Amino acid sequence: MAIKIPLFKAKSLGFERDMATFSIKYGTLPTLFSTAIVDTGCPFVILSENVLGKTRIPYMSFPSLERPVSLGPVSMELKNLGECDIFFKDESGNTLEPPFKQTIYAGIPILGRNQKLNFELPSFIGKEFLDKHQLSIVKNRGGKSFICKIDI
Amino acid sequence: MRKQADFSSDLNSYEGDFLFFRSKIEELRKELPNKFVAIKDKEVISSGDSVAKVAESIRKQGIEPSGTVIEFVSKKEQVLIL
Repeated sequence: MAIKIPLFKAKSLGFERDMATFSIKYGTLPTLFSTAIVDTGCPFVILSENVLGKTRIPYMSFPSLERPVSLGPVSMELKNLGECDIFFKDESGNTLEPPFKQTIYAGIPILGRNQKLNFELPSFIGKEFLDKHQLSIVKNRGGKSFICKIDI
Repeated sequence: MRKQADFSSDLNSYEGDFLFFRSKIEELRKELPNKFVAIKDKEVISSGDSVAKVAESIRKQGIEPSGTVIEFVSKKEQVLIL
């Protein structure tokens, strides 16, 4: 299957980032939509609590990753939601089939009592996704970025 | 079961709404600082102090939150090196 997922550029956390739009099917719940920064510096696929807050997924009851994780100044707890189906669109805007099966984590900021996060908390598509599906981030001559499968 | 075409259309409009949010962020910082906003069809349809409150508000309008862009409008832009 030829895979070419177009990324778009948008400012997030102060810089222009390569981002992707995708949807997740989780059990019988309505399809969940999200955008995410595509970044090989992030080890996992992490959904922000802002995205999960739109759903009835009981993410707080899932097991936590034992290692501590931080995003900038914010410590985060990662809850393992298990393997989900992730859907992307191709260059023509059609949904890529079959979906990608991928372990997803919920990124929950650890905040003190009455403390509120004062910046956006994005979702991430990280290295584990690219490695598992043998995908790379590439740029074409026009500077547009894609997630592609390259046979070399 | 949903048709693939419908699903693609949802992905495309979600991305359009997210890009609309990013293009309006400086205006939103002035109008709705430190609030969560819901965007549908390139319009702000709700705002509030938490995702849960905004999600509940748009559910009452008959809109499914899981398919709607809900983002936090920080008062100041936070810059992070990843």
